[in-house]
Amino acid sequence: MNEPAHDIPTRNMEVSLGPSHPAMHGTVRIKVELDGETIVKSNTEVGFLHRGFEKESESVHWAQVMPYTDRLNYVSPLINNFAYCQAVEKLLAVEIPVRAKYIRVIAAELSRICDHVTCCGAVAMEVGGFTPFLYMIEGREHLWDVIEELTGARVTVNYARPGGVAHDLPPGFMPRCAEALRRCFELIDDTDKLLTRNRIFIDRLQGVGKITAEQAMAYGITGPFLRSTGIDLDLRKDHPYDVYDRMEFDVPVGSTGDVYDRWLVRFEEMRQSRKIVEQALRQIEPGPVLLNNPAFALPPKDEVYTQIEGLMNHFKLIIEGAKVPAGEVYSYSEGANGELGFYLVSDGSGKPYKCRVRSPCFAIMAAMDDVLLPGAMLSDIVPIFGSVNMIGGECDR
Amino acid sequence: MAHRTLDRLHRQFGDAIVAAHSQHGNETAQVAGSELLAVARLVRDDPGLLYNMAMDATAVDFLNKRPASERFEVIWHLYSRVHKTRLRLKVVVPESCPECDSLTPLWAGFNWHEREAWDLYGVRFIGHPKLQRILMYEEFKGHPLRKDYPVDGRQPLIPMRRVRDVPTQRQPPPELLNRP
Amino acid sequence: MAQVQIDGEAVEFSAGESLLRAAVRKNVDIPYYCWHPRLSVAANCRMCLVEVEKAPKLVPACQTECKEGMVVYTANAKVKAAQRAVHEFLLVNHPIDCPICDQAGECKLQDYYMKFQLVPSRMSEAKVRKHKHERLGPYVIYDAERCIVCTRCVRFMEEVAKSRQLGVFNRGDHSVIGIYPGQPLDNPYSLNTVDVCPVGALTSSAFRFKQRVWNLRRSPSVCPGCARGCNVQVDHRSAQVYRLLPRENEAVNQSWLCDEGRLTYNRANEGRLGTAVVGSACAAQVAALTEVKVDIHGIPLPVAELPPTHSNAAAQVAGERLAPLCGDGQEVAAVLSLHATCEEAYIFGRFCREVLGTTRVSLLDRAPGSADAILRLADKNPNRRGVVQVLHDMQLEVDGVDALLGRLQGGKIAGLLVVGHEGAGAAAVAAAGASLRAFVHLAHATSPLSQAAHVTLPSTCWVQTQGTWINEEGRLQHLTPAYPSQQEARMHSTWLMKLAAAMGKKIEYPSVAAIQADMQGALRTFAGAELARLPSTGALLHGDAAQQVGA
Repeated sequence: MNEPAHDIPTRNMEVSLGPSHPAMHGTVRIKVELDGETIVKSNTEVGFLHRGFEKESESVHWAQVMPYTDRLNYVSPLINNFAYCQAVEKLLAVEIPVRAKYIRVIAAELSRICDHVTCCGAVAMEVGGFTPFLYMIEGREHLWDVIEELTGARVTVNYARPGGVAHDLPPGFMPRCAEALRRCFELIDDTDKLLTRNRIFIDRLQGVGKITAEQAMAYGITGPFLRSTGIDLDLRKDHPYDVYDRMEFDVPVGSTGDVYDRWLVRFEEMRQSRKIVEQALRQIEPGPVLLNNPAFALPPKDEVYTQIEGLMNHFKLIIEGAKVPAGEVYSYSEGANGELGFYLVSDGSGKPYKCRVRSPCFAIMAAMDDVLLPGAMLSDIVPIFGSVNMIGGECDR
Repeated sequence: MAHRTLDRLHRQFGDAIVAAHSQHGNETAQVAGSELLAVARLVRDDPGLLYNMAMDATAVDFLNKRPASERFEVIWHLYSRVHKTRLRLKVVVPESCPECDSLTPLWAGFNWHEREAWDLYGVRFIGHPKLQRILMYEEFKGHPLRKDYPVDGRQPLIPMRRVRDVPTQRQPPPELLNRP
Repeated sequence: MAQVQIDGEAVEFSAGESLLRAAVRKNVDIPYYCWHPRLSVAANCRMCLVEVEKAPKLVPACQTECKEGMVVYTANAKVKAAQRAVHEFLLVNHPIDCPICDQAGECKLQDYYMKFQLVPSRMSEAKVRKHKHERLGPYVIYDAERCIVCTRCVRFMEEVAKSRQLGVFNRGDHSVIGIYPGQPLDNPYSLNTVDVCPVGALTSSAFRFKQRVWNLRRSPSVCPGCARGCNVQVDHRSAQVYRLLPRENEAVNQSWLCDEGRLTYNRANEGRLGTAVVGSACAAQVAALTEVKVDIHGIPLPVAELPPTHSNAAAQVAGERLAPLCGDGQEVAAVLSLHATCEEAYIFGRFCREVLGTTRVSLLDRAPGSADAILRLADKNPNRRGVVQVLHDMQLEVDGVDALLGRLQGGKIAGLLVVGHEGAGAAAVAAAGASLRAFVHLAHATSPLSQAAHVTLPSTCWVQTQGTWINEEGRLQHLTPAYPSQQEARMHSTWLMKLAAAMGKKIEYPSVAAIQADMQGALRTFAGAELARLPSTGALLHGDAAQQVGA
């Protein structure tokens, strides 16, 4: 690579992309050393969106961490909500009601579709296909409408609670959800037809940003990125949580581990997610959605306003926070980008002693300099980085 | 299945496994710092264990909760794709000399996680290829996730402007006043 | 030694000790309302019921004496059921008041609900209504609905304050605490009843509706009300002190505090000075030092270094004014308040000797007040003993305000430096000082002195100052800053060092700890006292140092 192919004395050129660049998918800086158009060396800098999630979490109550988790992966905040709650529930050693589990599955899968739609749309846009991006964003809009109906917010949802979810499905949710999915998938299918077998698009993605299964595993890469290399690791199948063991779905895998395979895997995953949502909507049965345990769940409002017991309970939970038994737990679930882990340490007080997020795209970003970029062309950075789907909020925390 | 890894480690390393538990389904082995690399190599390569995936590495600061000689705990989370099991390795690190072996040479995936632990907790990893700050900027002083770093501590790169210096209600320049 | 078994653990006890005391000593969590370690046993709340083997029914732990070989269970199913039932009864008539109750956040009903009841209400009857607002005395307001009639307040008045001003009236769920006709709760210790009240029934009129307690930060300190030096806890938020509560110190104030001392919290809030007050005589000089040059748009022009703050400039001007008056037949009189810490007194002493060139210090003291046999002392100056001993050790002469006024009339005195404003003679000194050529004042609040002085530099008050006070019996106690000094306020000692620098002399210490280290070597009083490692309850001076010097 450093051997000059000709006699003209040349020097490698350094190009800096980002931290704010129109073709960059997130706030990140990639400094590349170029020999002609080929990347010789790269240096990826993250941290521009570091907000001190962990430090903040250590100074608020367990329940107050929830809004901060919304802001980790802000395209699929519900998954973060549930992953955090799952970790706290493990420390509390409680099992949430079945209906809450179904709601979590439905909401998480809708979020997964949102996330993939955003990622794929952005990849298409960044390599020049602007129309598909608008299609995809419109599709996401339909789903966000449903999520807004469910949680009251499009992005900052704050919907999960340790012990279940904040409130039940709104009336008429099921038909509206089915309709939103139908309309969203019309757009997804259109995009599929426009791009997936488009010669230019394939040329741009195929063989680009390759990684082998062994490398990917050593880097701790998970999710669609790992599955594109042919490894069918999916925590929903391998370590089922909530009610994923009652769902029928396939785990799509790729074979070459390049950007095009990731594109295909994400598209298929969206269809599988739709299948899961539809099954869950069929199976879900009435019941409570939040554990009625005064030790950590807020009492119903009518008890707060009419009984001294409920009021005191409410006060203590708000002032001091629910006490979580001392211990440590690493809880994991399948986020849209891969394994989303929460490592919590409790000292038995009302605040987390440590609240660590293992974010999936941080692990993928770590492989950029060593595996993904060297040898690639300058223009390949854009699709490669796009297929990582780096979400600044989650990567930099 | 559950305790196979821990049993194996106990058998092979005896006292070097300082403590072990499997709280909430997480197998945890606290390893003596000197034996960390040997233990790590075994759990990665032994066909019965094969922890091939580097999931996460971080540290915990137990300031005022434990003696200064045991202030930090460094934690690695591993996953075995083959056996579908997880393992948490722990090393206790003193305040006076916060360093331990890096596992990056064994799993490339720990590179950034260990950099982050250095950045936020100030734990040095011996043998790490590039131990530099990652989330904070190079000029940052201290390690923000240590419990003695205040939650509202600020170290702006560019000094905050004093309100008095910010022109708020200034008079528009005369040439602007008579514009059509 | 005789033993009982509490939850399977052997606990030794002394003769006559109750089960509850033995359990509390061992950190066994038995709930209680009416019991108080410093009051007699009433056993009326029934919250501390425990099971004793071979006893026919549950017994109150507070009233049951330990007997050799007793086997006690404090948390078995039977006891837990009893705790839940008792607590449910206590809440039967409790109003839904937490949002408007000052006790919320430090209320034992709330704590014990989370710990020992944790089930929703089964009560469907209407609650009994009673008085919500009954003024028992000048400082105490009673809410009868919240009261659980534990009688802690009644017993406190009877046993500690020794005046039976409270009683229980009526029976059953009509019971209320009350005063006797025409006899308000005006005992000087009345606010302790608010402390001992485990619920929100008794509230302090000074603190009522001012702050939610969970927002307050707490720091240890010492009461500035008199020379007793009662230990207090300062509850503050956003640089405002909201109340003082007694802090346990067996050797000084046990767990009590007088009303007068409690109300001194306002001294930390009222009339605070944030920046220097500069009289018309010096205004132009200070303005010249702090001037910021601006361009025609009002944007500051770049300067080599930041312009000095207003107060620093004022200190510079003050120093320049005082400097020419020292020596040459002229004299600057030095006045120190008895609120100053020993460290400040030491720096002040050095300043007098080395910078002003005088060996005489006049003390500004508060007039004697009422005293009693419980806590209050007639001497209302918290650090008289400390200041006097420090100055004595430094071989400085000490006199009072009257002597100072006499000297001022002599005409030899050209300047005046007054550190602190707490004292009866402040107005007289201010009037006499106004006509001098230099009048410099250091204080944390406005007073006649700050109005008359040419320059007043803003100081920290006692809850923001680091240092030591010596109380009347010779106990050395720490003051630690509860919150940082505001705006440009600095400790007296810091300003004195700056003044010395402005006058061309050098007194420099990097920290209060450095002053203390120096003092320990230089002053007889502190020889052997480990200032850096003083326990939170303080330590008595010993040896020669304990000999009191006549003021």
